[in-house]
Amino acid sequence: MDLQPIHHEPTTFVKKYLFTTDHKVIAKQFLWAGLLFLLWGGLLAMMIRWQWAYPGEKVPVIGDLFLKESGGAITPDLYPKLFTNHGLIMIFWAITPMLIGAFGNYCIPLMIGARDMAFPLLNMLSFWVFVLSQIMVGASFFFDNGAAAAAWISYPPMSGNIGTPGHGQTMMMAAIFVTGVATIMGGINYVTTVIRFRAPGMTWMRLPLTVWGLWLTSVLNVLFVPVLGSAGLLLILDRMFGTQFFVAGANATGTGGDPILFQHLFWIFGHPEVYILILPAWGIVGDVISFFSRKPAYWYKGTVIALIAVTVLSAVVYGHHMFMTGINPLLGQSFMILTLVISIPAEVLFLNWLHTMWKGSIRLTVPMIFALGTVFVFGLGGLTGIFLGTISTDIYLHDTMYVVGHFHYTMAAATFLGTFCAIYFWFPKMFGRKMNPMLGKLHFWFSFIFITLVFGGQLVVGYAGQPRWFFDPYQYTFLQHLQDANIKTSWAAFALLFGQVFFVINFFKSMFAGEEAGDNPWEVGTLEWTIPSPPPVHNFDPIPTVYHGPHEYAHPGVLEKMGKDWLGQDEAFDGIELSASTDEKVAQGA
Amino acid sequence: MKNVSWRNLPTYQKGEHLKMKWCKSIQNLVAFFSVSLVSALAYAQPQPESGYNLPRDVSLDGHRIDWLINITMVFCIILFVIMCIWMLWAIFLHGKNHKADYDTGDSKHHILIACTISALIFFVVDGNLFYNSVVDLNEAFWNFEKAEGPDAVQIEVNGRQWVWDARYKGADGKFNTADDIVTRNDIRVPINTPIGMQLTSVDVIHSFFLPNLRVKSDAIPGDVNRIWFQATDTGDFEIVCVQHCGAAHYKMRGILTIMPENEYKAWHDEASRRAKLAFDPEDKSAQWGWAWEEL
Amino acid sequence: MSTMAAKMIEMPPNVAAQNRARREWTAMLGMIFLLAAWAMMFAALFFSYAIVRVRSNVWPPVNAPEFSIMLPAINSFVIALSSLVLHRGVSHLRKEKLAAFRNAFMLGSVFAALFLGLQWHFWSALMASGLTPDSGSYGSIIFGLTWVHAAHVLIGFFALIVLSIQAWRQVYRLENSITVRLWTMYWHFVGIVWLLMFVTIFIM
Repeated sequence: MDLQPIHHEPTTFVKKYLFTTDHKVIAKQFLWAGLLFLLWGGLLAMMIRWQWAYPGEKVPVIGDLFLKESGGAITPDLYPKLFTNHGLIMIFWAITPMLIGAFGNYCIPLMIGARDMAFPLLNMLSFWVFVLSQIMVGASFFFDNGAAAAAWISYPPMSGNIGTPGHGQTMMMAAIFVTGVATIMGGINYVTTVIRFRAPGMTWMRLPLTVWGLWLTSVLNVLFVPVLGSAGLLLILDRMFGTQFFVAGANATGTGGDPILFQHLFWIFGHPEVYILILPAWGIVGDVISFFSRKPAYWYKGTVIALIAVTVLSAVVYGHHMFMTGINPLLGQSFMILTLVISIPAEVLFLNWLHTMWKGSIRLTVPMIFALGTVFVFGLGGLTGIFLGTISTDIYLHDTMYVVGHFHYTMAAATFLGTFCAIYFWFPKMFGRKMNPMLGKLHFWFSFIFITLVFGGQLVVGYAGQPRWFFDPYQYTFLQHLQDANIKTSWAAFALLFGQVFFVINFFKSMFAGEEAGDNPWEVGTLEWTIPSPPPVHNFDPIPTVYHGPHEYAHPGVLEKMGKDWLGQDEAFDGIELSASTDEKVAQGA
Repeated sequence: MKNVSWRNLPTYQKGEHLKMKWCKSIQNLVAFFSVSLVSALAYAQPQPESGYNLPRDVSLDGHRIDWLINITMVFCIILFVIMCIWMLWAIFLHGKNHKADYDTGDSKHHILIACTISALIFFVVDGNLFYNSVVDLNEAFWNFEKAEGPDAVQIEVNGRQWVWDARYKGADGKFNTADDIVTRNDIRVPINTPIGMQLTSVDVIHSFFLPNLRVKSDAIPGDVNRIWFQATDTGDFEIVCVQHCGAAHYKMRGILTIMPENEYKAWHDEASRRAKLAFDPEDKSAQWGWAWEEL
Repeated sequence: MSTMAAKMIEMPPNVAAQNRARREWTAMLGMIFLLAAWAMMFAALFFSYAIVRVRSNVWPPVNAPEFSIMLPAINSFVIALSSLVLHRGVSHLRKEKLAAFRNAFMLGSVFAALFLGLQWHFWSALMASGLTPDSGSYGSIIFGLTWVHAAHVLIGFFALIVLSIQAWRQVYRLENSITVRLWTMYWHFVGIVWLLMFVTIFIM
């Protein structure tokens, strides 16, 4: 009896495509579910952008379809529902399933040389619990007072019965809890799989950076999503059973709950969540830059240490979201310095990416330009973040559009471009066909230019003082001159949406009529490219043996003896060993 | 900062309003006219801004924030431009036709360079930010003692959906008495005087933001938060709520009027007299004040 | 060669047993992470309790009705006893004493039911004495935290019932004992959480 038995391919449709335990099919299920909700969240964003550009005017198309009661315009009552659901849907039901659900599932077993996840049944359960949460989100729109409207942060008392009566908000909190359960199930699976199912020779320091990113993300998921679960649970208890965890009362008689308690719980989860979303993208970008610079990832070990450092630090900086709540000064300053310390590993990451490109042989393929785009927007997002990490600058910038611009660069733009980098890169493996590079490049330029402009526009108006969450900013005299900038930003957003048409066409066309990809169209060395595209159900016939790290490119010895500039992780080559220094390697290889 | 619920604080002394006197000197009459003049001004629109800069700064310490934001912005732009040039240069110089260098960047020499650059950026950019922020907080923004003196003006602000209520001490120099001035979305302060404010809320969390004075703090039910500032120019400015607090959040707008000191005093005396006149002890909902929280 | 021989001796008797040990360790690891996640969730609840309590000047609140901690104390005893019984049951299973194993798990199920019954009675008594979930943060903490805990006990209770039925049918042997061991781990975890709750909420 083998440790990882070979399962036969299921024959019925239900077992093959619906209730499947095959991690590759589950990955695709997550991808579809995520893309669907990305579209939904994106349309909500477009409505918000319309409102900021032309407040009170009839929304084209969407207004005719869904907003008949108000003559096609967005009302102040509807508006909070838009941004609340936009935020929550994008974070929990678009980015998470695509980056972590889809590519976590797809890449982890293939890249570490395993036949499936450690717990395939749990994996299936994770997806269907996730679907249940999506249905709950959909259902939350159909209650009496409509969908959730307390902003994505859901601070009580706003998210309590005082602020948002009705079952829509309760349903949304329950949906977050349920999707949290799905995420934890997936997280346990990923963490265990990487620890236990690495192929022989696949040491921790030979893991592709993608796997490192996904693994660290999963560790954070397992540890911190439960905290959000608790917060959500207590909020639901407050809403449904009249408990008073988050209801301020008289403290002298000891009967008071505390609205700030929710903020603590929320951000203990919330700050790691930011890194939960970006770590996989960092990992993917680190790999892809090395692959297409045809050069080893610069100081791989440093990148890994930096990723781990960020993961650890992410758990201890959450207080910077609460600088304006009357935080204890000493505590505030501690959170300030801890937050700023994160910039050190972040700098190491950036330097390593840039060094990897330097003196490479850069091939500007579609995944590569998406990876470079990710570096660009994350650079903007990271740099604009330090202003919010110190209290005195945060006094002015807190809760302005500047914050919105900053976190969209990191959590939206970087993960968006990172996700598409992953889609373009692994599409040939997933569907056995190549995507059209011309359409891919068009998609990239539309996405890259306009996503930069959209969130850049938010930074600019935020710097000029425009607060977030405003139905109509121009009620304020000091903001009236910003309407021009907002109109331009909104049109950038509409162009961003339009640019996605190229992706949709490319995606479906390539899936059915793309050029056959072959096993290894990108000529890279990680394990998933050593097997057919798409891979068989059991992935690897014999489990491969790994001899070195994932980034062996441009080795002079390999070039001379094998006539190619890359080396598969399962290919042994005399003298290439990760721990050896550069000079020794070249000497031995040549 | 100590967070104490205002609900537990001793309520106002009943009956004090009975001690008030109906007659006042001629000064009041003079004051009355100047008050009318000022209140007419108060409903004038605040001046619009232009360009994409920070809003006009009319505070004593706001320049600290502006300087720190702008200097850090310069650093960030420099770093970002270096990054972009590096990327572009690599793409142009080391494209498809360039023979890649086999370099894993593992040597001590390389690691030393990477760590040095990272540490350097950290100590210059982040270090500057941290040091100045701490200094600013200790000297200015969190140095609440500055607004505790006898010549400072103290105001209690209570946020509710979707109004900013403000409460001033009356002539008796105490909060929560019959001669307290209570205003609605209309806060008046004298120029060149430290203004201390204590903020709370009765329903959901609001956030009190004065863009032109670089001041912001959350108003939280069950908590009292502090801010202080000192204005350097007269005029009308906007008070913004920046925490999502319901459908009409965007309308939770107040006007901050910065007045010359004498005008403020005249307004205050007259408004206090009138408040005492109109005080209704039965109207409990109007008596939301609390005794000023000492530091 | 001598090192090879040493390795041979240390190895389990056959490849199947070796692979089973590996698979069991994988499953165990999954359970450890699952319990870590659950521990974080309860940690967040304890954190909430700590914050609420630190912010209150008086605890328990002035008007809170007095109640006896007799029932929670008995329950601590019950859940500790049930853990002990299940632990014994697992060691019986390891020795393949199937009847003793079955009896232990059935007794464990009875204790679990007893715990839930006593909790129910405790809540009813509290409500009768005037302490309800909506009577301020005190009621919120006591009811909220014990509710969430009881929900986990309920999951464990159902699992114990199923395991007992399977034990009756002699489904489990040493080879497939991992399922039983993992559920026992879960039960120990729930028990430890209860003891922590008892000490922090009812005694401190």
